[in-house]
Amino acid sequence: MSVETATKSIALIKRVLSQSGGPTGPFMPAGLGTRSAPPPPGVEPLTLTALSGVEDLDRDELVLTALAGTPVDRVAQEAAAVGLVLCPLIPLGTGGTLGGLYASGSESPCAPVEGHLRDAVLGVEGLTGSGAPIKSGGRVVKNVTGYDLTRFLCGSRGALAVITRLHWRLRLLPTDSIEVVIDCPATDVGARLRALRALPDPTAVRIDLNAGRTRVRALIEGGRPSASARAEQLKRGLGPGAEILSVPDEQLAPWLAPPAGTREHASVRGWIERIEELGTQSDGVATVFPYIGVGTTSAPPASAPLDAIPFGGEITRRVRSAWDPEGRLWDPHRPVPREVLS
Amino acid sequence: MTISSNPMPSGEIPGLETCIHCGLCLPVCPTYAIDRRESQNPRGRIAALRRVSEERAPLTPGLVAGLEDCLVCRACESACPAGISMEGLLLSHRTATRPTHADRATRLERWLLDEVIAHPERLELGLGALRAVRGGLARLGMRDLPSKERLIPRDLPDSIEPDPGQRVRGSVTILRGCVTDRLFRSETLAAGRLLAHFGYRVSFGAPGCCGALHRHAGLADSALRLSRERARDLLREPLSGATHDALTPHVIVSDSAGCHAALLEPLAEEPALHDLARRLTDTPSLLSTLELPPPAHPIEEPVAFFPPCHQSHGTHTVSATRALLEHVTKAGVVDLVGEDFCCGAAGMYVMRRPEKSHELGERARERWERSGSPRIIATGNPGCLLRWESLIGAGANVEVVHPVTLLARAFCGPEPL
Amino acid sequence: MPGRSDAALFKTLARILPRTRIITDSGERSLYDTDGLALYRGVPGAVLLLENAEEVIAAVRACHHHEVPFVPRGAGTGLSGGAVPLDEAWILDVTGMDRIIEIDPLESLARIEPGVVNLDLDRAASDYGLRYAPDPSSQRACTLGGNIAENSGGPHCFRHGMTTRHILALEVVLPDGTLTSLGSRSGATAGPDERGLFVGSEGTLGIAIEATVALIRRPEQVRTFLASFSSLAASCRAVSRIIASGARPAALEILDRLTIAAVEASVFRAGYPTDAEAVLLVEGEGSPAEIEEETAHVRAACSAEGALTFEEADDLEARTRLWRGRKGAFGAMGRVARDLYVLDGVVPRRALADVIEKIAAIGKKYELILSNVFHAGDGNLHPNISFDARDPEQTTRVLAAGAEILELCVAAGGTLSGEHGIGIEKRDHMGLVFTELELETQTRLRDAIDPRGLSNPGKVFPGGRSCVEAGHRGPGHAARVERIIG
Ligand SMILES: Cc1cc2nc3c(=O)[nH]c(=O)nc-3n(C[C@H](O)[C@H](O)[C@H](O)COP(=O)(O)OP(=O)(O)OC[C@H]3O[C@@H](n4cnc5c(N)ncnc54)[C@H](O)[C@@H]3O)c2cc1C
Ligand SMILES: Cc1cc2nc3c(=O)[nH]c(=O)nc-3n(C[C@H](O)[C@H](O)[C@H](O)COP(=O)(O)OP(=O)(O)OC[C@H]3O[C@@H](n4cnc5c(N)ncnc54)[C@H](O)[C@@H]3O)c2cc1C
Ligand code: SF4
Ligand code: SF4
Repeated sequence: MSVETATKSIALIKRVLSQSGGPTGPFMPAGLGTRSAPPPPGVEPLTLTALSGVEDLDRDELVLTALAGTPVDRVAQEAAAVGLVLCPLIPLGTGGTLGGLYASGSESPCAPVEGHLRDAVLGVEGLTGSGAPIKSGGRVVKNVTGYDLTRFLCGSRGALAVITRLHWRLRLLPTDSIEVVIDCPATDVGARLRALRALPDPTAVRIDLNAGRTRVRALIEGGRPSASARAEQLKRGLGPGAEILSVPDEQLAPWLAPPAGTREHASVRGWIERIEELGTQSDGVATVFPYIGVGTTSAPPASAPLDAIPFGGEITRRVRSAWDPEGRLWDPHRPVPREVLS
Repeated sequence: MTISSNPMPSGEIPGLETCIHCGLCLPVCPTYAIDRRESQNPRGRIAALRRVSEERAPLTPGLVAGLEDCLVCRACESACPAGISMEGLLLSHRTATRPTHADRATRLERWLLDEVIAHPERLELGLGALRAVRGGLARLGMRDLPSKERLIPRDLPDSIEPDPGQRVRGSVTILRGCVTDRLFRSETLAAGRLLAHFGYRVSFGAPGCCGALHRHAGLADSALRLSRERARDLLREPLSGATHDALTPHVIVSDSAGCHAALLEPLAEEPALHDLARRLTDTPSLLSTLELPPPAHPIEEPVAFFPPCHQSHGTHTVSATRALLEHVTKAGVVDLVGEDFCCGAAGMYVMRRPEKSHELGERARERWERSGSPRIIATGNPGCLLRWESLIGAGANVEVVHPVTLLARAFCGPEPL
Repeated sequence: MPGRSDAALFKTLARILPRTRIITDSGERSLYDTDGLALYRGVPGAVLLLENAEEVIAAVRACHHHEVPFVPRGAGTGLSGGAVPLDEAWILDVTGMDRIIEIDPLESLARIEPGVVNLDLDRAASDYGLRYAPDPSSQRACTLGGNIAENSGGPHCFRHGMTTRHILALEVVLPDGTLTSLGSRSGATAGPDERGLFVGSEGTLGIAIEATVALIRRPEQVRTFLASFSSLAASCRAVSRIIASGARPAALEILDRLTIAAVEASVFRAGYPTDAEAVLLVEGEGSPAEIEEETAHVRAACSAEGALTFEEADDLEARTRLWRGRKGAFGAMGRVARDLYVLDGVVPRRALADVIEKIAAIGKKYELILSNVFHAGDGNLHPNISFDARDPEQTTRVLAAGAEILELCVAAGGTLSGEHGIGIEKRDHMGLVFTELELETQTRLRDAIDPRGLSNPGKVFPGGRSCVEAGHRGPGHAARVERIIG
């Protein structure tokens, strides 16, 4: 999409938003619909998939600019063609648009070493519910000019702004990766995680639980001799029974993606308790990324969700009413204790 | 307290322009640690001086409190990237304001310094009187009084010959000081014994004040006069001819960190005295130039080392002392945990600002306790020794010593009585 | 509405706080009239020394009620005038809230009060083999509250990211006294990242009274490299090569010739070659195997760009020596003249050499002593101008040069500030980056959270609401601010 067409499309969105009366919303900005349930009754989709295209990809500065409706996989392909990948590592192949990825605020399992998704977005452009322009950040990695709306709107689910353009950080494509795994009873997970915490952080940590047996998996980005050295170190640290496996490229996306199930949030300590609890149930199944606090389980927890995070708080409420007094963008009901992924 | 209009003409304080307001001195300032107000930290003190001297702002009670509460511990000088001299700034300020801004405590301080301490015979009388009333004062709750033992000075010979059998290395004059000479003669003697043990011919010179306390109290003239007098005394000593080894110049030793630091300043300012400044050192630094044998009587217990502020930030001789203590102890030297703050003694501060001084003392004691309460506490400055003796209290099974005392004990054996 | 009443506020607070922690003495208040920048001044109406969350909440509520503007303040080391009170705002000093509430090695986090000094947290974390990564050069003195408000950076943020990456959750008192929790202990956010909005908001959205921060493992090994170059452009190209090689150094810092000269002429002498046009400091960290890989990349990049000298060091003492000049650069420049103006701009990496050449020309044009130290990996420039703020004519030239430098950065595709914030210093330059309407979206947001405009007024956004005084004040100023409280 040329810059002029993009500008025209954005102007159109603005007109739609600022039209009072008529066929007006409230609207729910939409990408490819991979992450969201269909708009609730009375809410109209504002589909942004036409606003698509990678406008600039700078190999040296490791940054790209793309329109919000660009499919993530297409962005990834263009980056991969020059040996780069989007930061942080995310499960590709799950579809969706760049704007949808950003607006749904998906977590990367690699956050502890790479930063969260919100740390990878360098700048954002968009419109408020009343059609006023939003701009924050830019194409440089360090930027404290004005409020950090780039982070604020990450995860805003189309309820605070329509995202039109994003500046995203890139990095070198990792070569095939390694994982260090250890199988143990659910009651041993705490000890394993403690042992891991005393070692240099792996790129990501994942725990798979199935009927009382757990596998603790640590991912290390591979290719370089130092990665094997670190894998050896982790293997020693995890104790007898730990193994080193290679993760071929095509296996990386499933490694990073949470399977379907009930989504839960908890801290590391909370997850240890939860896995011990699930371990006692014969049908207990869970996939957990303990370092970023999220996981999916087969069954809802017996007690209340461990660490439910509602959709925003006082600040979000006030900003919403200031930016969108007429409520032209949809209001996701809150709090949302648990999110069910399709 | 009276508040006069600006007591100082604009820009009169030299060195005031050096501060770049970066704040890197904040965490090392003891008064700021106990009272988190800008007027109680180095940056604020300098800003206050700028307001008053450059902008002719009135010296309000808040500013006076901040400036008077400074310990002149000089920790900020070591922390400052721009190289300020808090000692110099406050000397100028206090000198300029004393005539108009003295409260009772500062007037008493001034009187003691100029009328008693600067005169050996009056000091003698004063300390004699103190000996008589010490018990009573202690019962009234007065802290930091010298112990009874300290108030009965032992005799000091004029000189000590090098130990027989030692290669003669040179000659040393040990600075006796004023109060130090009266209350810390054991330490002076220990330094003498130690140096003689390693082959130095030691002489003790005449007692006399070097003006260190006067510098802090804003008595610039007295401070300069006294330090010049001391320098002249020292110049009267045979500086080279009398050495036994023509290649080793005569050395002057001061083991009171405060006196040592105070002498360095005026010496550095007067080219005629530069040679003297080069010869001025302390016993551990002098000994650390030698190949030392293992001690004959090593110290068995761990030693808590508390470097006096004027050693850390004035004479910069901490590492030599620490290394020697390490050399003579079996259980090693314990560096106190926590921030290296002044113990609150700070010359006459004890008398001038008893509350703050006490609070800092308590903090120092806590640091020692958190470090495992080692049974021996070593510190190389008279004020700090008195402070620690008072903090620990009589009767406790803890020994507060000057490092030279420990070194003498380790190398030369128990003190002769 | 009754309007602002300082006297009523004083009465309310005198019931809550001990008198010694309400500073009204005119001389003492005047000591709070500036921060680390010292270009802008404003005397506070009063200063409150607050020691716990309840006091902050009560103070903010009272300010809100009596419509008195207030400024949160940490150590006052900010470099954009952020903590300078305008409109005789009251200072809410939270340096007394300096407790480290907990350190949890399993979760790799710490919970702290805002007055905790950056380096103190790092030291406490080291007992667990952990560290707090962002390391502003002021880390010995600056508070985490200030770091959060400015989203501070530091040399090691090249690899580890700015403050915002390390803040998991915050407890915040909004400008009307409402208490709210942002973020979560695991760092995940579902919904808008309110935590991210607050970080870098420069005290305009309220006061942080508690933070949960991420700690990371201390590296197994650290190696420092120093390379010197005969041209600044070559040193910048070496940086790009290192990054392109896939190496992930922790820090990439460059000092230009004038800085080298100033450092070498000062007590911070580090032995940098004075005939070089630039020195590049690189720090690698990780496992021994990683360090060897990094070393190979760094060596190759530097030799490809024709480095004049190349040194590497592993042990602390030698590394400290290599860093000494960088760490002492501000101090050394501070010794050149009475005042130092540390600028902060960002450009794309590839524009570095060109922009620095143009900055030198600006310095020459305004006849100023100007040198550059910069976080080269991030394109974050720190042009330093040494001057005397007592000279109004010189100060005017300094400000004019600063403005031109900022225009230059923005024109090169960069921005106004990488880590020091906008504060007062750059508020009137915001138009270089944002349109009126884009700024309005931001001020709408601020007004929604602070409808009475009480939290750090006059900062970040252009506008004539608050009068700003630049440079040195004339005699009699302190007398003018005499107030009648207490
Ligand atoms: C089962 C599953 C699990 C996944 N898990 C992860 C994961 O853990 N981590 C990860 O990084 N990725 C994950 N992804 C991928 C990622 O979530 C999707 O690529 C992306 O979030 C959805 O894009 P979309 O275009 O389909 O958005 P949609 O589903 O259309 O919209 C998602 C949300 O974003 C809003 N939105 C969309 N576009 C805009 C816009 N332009 N402006 C404003 N709001 C907008 C919508 O209103 C909606 O609330 C997962 C995907 C799937 C299918
Ligand atoms: C020598 C020197 C070197 C420096 N190096 C760096 C560097 O390398 N990188 C860098 O990024 N910065 C650097 N700085 C700038 C400065 O140290 C940072 O901006 C620091 O974060 C300020 O912290 P402070 O505690 O001094 O905050 P202050 O200066 O007191 O305040 C700064 C801002 O934060 C607000 N604030 C303070 N506490 C709170 C709170 N609890 N809640 C809400 N708002 C609050 C204030 O209102 C103000 O707007 C340097 C400064 C100096 C003097
Ligand atoms: S001399 Fe000591 S008490 Fe005085 S300002 Fe400096 S650090 Fe603080
Ligand atoms: S460290 Fe030095 S320059 Fe910095 S504020 Fe303190 S006194 Fe001033």
